[in-house]
Amino acid sequence: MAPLLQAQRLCKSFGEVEALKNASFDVQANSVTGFLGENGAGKTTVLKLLLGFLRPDCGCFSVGAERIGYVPERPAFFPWLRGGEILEHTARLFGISRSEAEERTDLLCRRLAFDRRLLGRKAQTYSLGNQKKLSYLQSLLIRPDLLMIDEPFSALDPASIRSVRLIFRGLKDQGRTLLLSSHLVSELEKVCDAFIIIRAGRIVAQGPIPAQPDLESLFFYYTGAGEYRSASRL
Amino acid sequence: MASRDRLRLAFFISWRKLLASRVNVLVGCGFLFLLAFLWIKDSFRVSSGAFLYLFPYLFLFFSQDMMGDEIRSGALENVIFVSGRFRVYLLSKNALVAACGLGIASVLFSAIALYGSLTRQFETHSFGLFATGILVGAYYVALAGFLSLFFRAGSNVLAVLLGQIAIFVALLFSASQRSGLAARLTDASVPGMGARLEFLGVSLVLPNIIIGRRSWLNLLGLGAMTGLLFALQSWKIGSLELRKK
Repeated sequence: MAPLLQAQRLCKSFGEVEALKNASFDVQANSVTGFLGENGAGKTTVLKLLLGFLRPDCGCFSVGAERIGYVPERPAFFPWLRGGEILEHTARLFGISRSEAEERTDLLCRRLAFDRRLLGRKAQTYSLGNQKKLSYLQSLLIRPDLLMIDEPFSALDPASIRSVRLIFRGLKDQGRTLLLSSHLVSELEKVCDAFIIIRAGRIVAQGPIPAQPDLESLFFYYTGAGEYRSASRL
Repeated sequence: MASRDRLRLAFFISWRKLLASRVNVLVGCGFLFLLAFLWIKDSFRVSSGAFLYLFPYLFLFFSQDMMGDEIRSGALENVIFVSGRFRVYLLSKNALVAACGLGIASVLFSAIALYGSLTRQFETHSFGLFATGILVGAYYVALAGFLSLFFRAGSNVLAVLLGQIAIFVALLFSASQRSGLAARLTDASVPGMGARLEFLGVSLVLPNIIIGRRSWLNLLGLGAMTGLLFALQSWKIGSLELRKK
């Protein structure tokens, strides 16, 4: 099966800093791929390149999805718009009828334990966790073929993390593709069936998640197991 | 995703932003108050004249912080702006802000024209002044929009106003000189190409003066500068990236 997302030799520099060095990877359709790396490894840069927020200095990529959803690590919204208005206009933009949007919003609010009354308030006044949930609502509302999430569990409480994990499984069952960027290996391990590991801007490993060793061991092996061992001795 | 829906969304965001800005509401109310004051204290003719010379400032104030803070806030890193759609949104803001200014100015002008026609105080050359004012407004939008890519918050509008204050001070200082800037600018014959270009140069900072001194050179010059500023914006936005907040 052809990959849904294919990146070849992507490079990106910010001034003197080489954030991405010849990064090549594939994301298979109907997979949940964990994009792993330490802080500052280049995960967010890759996502922003794929979403068109940044332009690569070299290399190319192709995305075979029509509808792309995106949940940033720290979502920001126009301070003068209410949550409900954001959802309403997102739905309209993606050709979702008002009644369907209402129905889906209701369902998603319940799944994410998001207080629907908040939709009447300006999104900027929400707590960080609720802003993240609104971003999930926005992306899930459009039924994305490909959903990219930067730090999917950050700012969420344990119950919401569990709900989000269940949503991921549901999306996979519906044939959707997810790319989850995080450094929380233990959480990703519970939902992912494939992984990509990035270290200092280079893709160092990728493939389906093996039965043995576990993802955490792979992560430490590829991102600096030596440092891990010496730290564990302290 | 239809481009009509994208435009509608961009219009909705821009319109709500205009209404949410206290400065815009204050400027709008202050403008209406000024016109009413001039009408009551002086005459309808003075009030309508003030409207025709000053309404392009509505376009300028509506352009405050047109893009800069939106780009830096991270709000464009949203599912509705993926695949480079944030660039289309930013470019369309010029047209949307201009449309908001044009809409409000047209309503006010229609009211003035209607009342003036009924009381036989309306002069037909006001249409020409209004059309020139719209060109001046479009220039303000292009200029302030371009500046907003570099300046924070409303300082793009402040920069334009400071430039105008500097011109105004220069005019005051030269008012007593026989061949000073003020004398050259107010000379009806405007001798020589040098003086015409000087007038055009001043009008790029204080374009409202063109409304009272329309000539093809001025109109073409201002139109060309508007086009150039839009082109510069397109170029800058075309290469824009949403980096860290």
